[in-house]
Amino acid sequence: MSGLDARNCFFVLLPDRDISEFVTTLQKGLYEHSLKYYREHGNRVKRKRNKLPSPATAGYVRPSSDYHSSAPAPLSIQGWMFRYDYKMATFAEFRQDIDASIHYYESAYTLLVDFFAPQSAITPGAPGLQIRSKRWNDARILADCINIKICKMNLYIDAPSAALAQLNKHITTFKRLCNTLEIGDDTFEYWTWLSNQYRVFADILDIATRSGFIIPDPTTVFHTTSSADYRFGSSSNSPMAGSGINPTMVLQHPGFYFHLAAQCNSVRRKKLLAVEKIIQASGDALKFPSGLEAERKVDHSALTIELLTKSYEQFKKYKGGRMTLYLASEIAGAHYEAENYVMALKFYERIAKKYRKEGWHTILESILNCSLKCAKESGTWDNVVEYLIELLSDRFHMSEQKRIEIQNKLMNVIFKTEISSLVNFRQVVIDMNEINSFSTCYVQFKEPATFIATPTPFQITFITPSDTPPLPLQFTYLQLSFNDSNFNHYFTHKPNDESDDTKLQCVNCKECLRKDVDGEGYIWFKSVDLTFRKGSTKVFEGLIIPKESGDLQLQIITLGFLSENWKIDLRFDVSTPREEPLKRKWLQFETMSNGEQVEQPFFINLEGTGDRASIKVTQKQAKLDIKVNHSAPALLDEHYPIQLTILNLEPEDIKAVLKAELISDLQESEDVIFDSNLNTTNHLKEVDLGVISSNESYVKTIYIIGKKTTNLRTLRLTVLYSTSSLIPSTPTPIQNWIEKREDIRIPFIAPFSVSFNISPQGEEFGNAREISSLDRIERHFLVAKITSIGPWDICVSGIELSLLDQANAQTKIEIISSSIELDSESLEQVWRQGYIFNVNYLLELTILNDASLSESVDIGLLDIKWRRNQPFGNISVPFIETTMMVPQLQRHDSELSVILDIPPNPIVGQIFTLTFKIINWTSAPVRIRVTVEVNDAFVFSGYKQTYFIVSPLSTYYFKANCFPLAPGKVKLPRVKMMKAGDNGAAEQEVPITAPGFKEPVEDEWYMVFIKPKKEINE
Amino acid sequence: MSNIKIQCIAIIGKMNNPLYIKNFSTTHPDLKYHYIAHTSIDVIEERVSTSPEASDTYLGLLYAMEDLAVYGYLTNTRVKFVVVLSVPDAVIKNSDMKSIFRKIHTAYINQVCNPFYNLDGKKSIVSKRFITAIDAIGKMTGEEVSISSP
Repeated sequence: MSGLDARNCFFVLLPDRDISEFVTTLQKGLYEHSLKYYREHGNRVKRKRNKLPSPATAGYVRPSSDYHSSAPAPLSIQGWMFRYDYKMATFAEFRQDIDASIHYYESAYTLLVDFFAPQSAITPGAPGLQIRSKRWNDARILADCINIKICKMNLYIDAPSAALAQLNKHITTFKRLCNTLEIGDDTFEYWTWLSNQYRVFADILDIATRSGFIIPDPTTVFHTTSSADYRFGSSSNSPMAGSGINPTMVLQHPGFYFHLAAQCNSVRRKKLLAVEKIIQASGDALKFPSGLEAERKVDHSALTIELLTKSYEQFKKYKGGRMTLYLASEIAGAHYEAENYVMALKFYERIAKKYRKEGWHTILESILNCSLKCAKESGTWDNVVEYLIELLSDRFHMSEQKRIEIQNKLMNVIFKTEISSLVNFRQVVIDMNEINSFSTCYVQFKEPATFIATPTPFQITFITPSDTPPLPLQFTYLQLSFNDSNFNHYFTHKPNDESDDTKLQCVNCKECLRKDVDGEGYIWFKSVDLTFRKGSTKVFEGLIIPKESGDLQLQIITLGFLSENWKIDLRFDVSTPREEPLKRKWLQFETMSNGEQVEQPFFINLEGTGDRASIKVTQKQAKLDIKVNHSAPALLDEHYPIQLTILNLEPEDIKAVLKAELISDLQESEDVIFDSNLNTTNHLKEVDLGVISSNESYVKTIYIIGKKTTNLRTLRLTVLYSTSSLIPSTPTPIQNWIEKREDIRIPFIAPFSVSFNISPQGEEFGNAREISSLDRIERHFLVAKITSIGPWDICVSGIELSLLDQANAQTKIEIISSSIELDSESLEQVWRQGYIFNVNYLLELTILNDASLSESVDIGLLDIKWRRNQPFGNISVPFIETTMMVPQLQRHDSELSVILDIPPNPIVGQIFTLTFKIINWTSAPVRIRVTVEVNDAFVFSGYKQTYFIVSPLSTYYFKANCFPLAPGKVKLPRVKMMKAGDNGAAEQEVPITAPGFKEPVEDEWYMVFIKPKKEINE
Repeated sequence: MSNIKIQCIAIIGKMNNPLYIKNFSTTHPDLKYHYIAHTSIDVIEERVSTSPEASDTYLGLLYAMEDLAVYGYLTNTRVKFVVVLSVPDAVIKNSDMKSIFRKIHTAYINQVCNPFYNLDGKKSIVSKRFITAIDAIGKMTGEEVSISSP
């Protein structure tokens, strides 16, 4: 029978063999044979079916008389036909002949359906199965199963339309059947069944898609026929392609079918409830015997939620974002029905945002209404308040009666209802920008910018639509929050005596009091009318006086209710820009700018669009003029007067202070600035200028002294002022006074240049003091050449050399004589530019002890007392001293010094004597060899070559007599002095100095001018 | 074709905000069609993203739900038209649907031509003329449609 050959009869799974391999071999070995086997089975059944007589001619009457009896009745021909068809279908399925299988299953299905008909079409006259009998139920389950089989098969062969058509056929067939049998769409049974059909279909579709089945895109599917004869229509390659589609034949993703199942389940619940109602009314449960008890036990909501969740997941998979919202709302609805309010509320809250954002207000209204009920039931009163407030919005179209109801509810919740679950005082903040508001709030500062201390008005406009709030709505308070909390305002409600029904209301919020409001701290306070009526425009005009520069922003406007149990803030965030900017408007009321009284307030247009919730506060432009008068360039060290003229151009009197500062690049500037009070510093701090009347000026002179360096200096003048009416009597300047700054640049130059020349001076041998001690005395001649280089005439009152205390106690310096009188008080000379003034000093340096004397000796400072010659206006400038450091005296100290004394005014024919003073500073005797070289100008008498020994610490005079032969500038006879080297070392030439004469260079020698015998002019 | 029965016409703005939704059915509440119109945006967005075209686009059947079929159309200014039909068990010709959408588009163009109409506004269209035009399309009998289509 099996047809297997002997070799392949046994398949043994060895313990160590791979199971999948085994299965593959098994399949290989058996596949052909099983195909053959089932084909033969099928053929046998087919032959049997063909042998059956035609049911129409057989006239077989079904055993209808006793269907309750359990005795098995013989099967009708129709039954046999069905039986064979089913068998053939199953065998075809086994051998994976899907097309044939579908064919037989459909045939079987048609036959089976006929059993249900009251009058069979196939066996005329035969009544159908008895309704609700066991057989009826079995048959129906069988029909359901075959239906699913056919659907599944069609999905196997990728015929989505056929699968859907089968489902639709099944549903319409049984709908018709049930309706005729009165167990149709009025009964929960029907809806249970329908829900299951969709659910099972959705499930297999889901499985199919997960196995790779692709849901066809409706845009690529075309139909030409109705679903009834879908077989003959075509899918995509029809010549009529593009003409249209039959929506019922478009297979969609499982989410849709899960959703249908859920909806059916929901109807099922309603039907049950309806039945319960009837039973309650009539008290007769017998009328609905079957399945009622079982149905009562079913948790419909849980089932619906499960189906919806499945659908939700499917839509999520297919990116139906908005559809999931819809499903979420359905899930919420199911939770609500199941009295699971907290869950329902959660879902509603989640979806409401999107609908609100996209402006689907009808949907939002329904969600809000449902949420409201849930919130009430679950006792989340904060939400109740929020939903009620949003429902007041005019975006929701509802009757006035309904609106009044909502408002009353809101008022009851806030002010009346004793809510037991409300334990504490509740504080709720509702962001009105997030929800649909019953009123629109606009903010305007009139100007984009303002000045410190300038009263700045602003307006807050609330516009209510024509239909809400239906009753006058009275808020407890209105609060304005600025980014600077010093400006926050708090208004409480004060009933207006006159019933103000005008469409346009102006509320004056100026003249607020600074007050400590409970819970709010110090705040600007006033009581105003806070009643909001429908269709009105309410304008609150307030006033602030900024105190600091910067951006001042009105950020949040809060309307609030305050009751025993509640504090509810309706928060309007005005700092965020509006979506649709409107033209800026300003309500003109009270008085116009020209002081004229306005009878009827009216709006004027302002420049720009949108809200202006922020204002730029800046310092007022100074209306002040600083004039500076001075005569540049300034000289170093002088008292340089600068005359300031401060002109007040403000219409009011001002109180001003002056600051002045010298800005120099130098790190350590010794510059000084001072005013007449002589408080010298390097900057002037807040010099009180007092009150300057309008259009009056104030003259102030300040002085600066530039020291040391001759660069450009910047004088920064700052005048701070404020209108005197605004300042309290306290003299200290407050911050944020108006500031006027002026920078002036002043070049500084030096008044003189001084050059010094110091030369050693010869001694008068005649008056030579006794060398009684080891003191050594030198004379030096100091010449200070002072050149006036400034452009200004300078008046010099005195020049003085002040000697410095010697750093070394062994030296002493004295002024022997000077070219200017030492004691004279006033020199009083006027020097012009380029004027050169020489001052000579003869200085005597006494060296007390020779040992370890440094080569340089401090001399002193040269002070010049001077001032500018031209007076500056009528200001008398004091004489000032410019001090110059005299260069140090450089001494050439040696062991042996030779000083040549040349007598003055030699005349031709008169003999004169050259005296060489040789001082031996050492403690050893020195041997000097002298050579005299004679020249033509003189006759020389004496040894041309000689030597002498100078004793230690003593002086030796060597004299040479010269007789001048010719007049004119001649060279003196050259005298060379050679010092014998110690211990036989080479001789060394000793330098000879002649004070008052130019030092000779190299081979040159001292020159003298020999006067002729007689005067030339005689 | 007499099989077309318009249940609802919805005009949806470019920001996905409803501009006008008219319910012609007697069986379903407005809310249902609002939901349907809103959910159809998903499908429209998906269709457009897969085949982006600059011109006006007839998007065909968006989806079928219960006994309703939802058709969509997108103008080149991203305004969406959605027509909901009650489903007959028959083929709905695309040409018929296109003709309905063209009529809606014409009505919308007339509305946009009104200089006082704020194109970027989010408020519903309240123009009487527009409403009348949409009403006329919705109440149109099947014959009229078939006459208008070749």
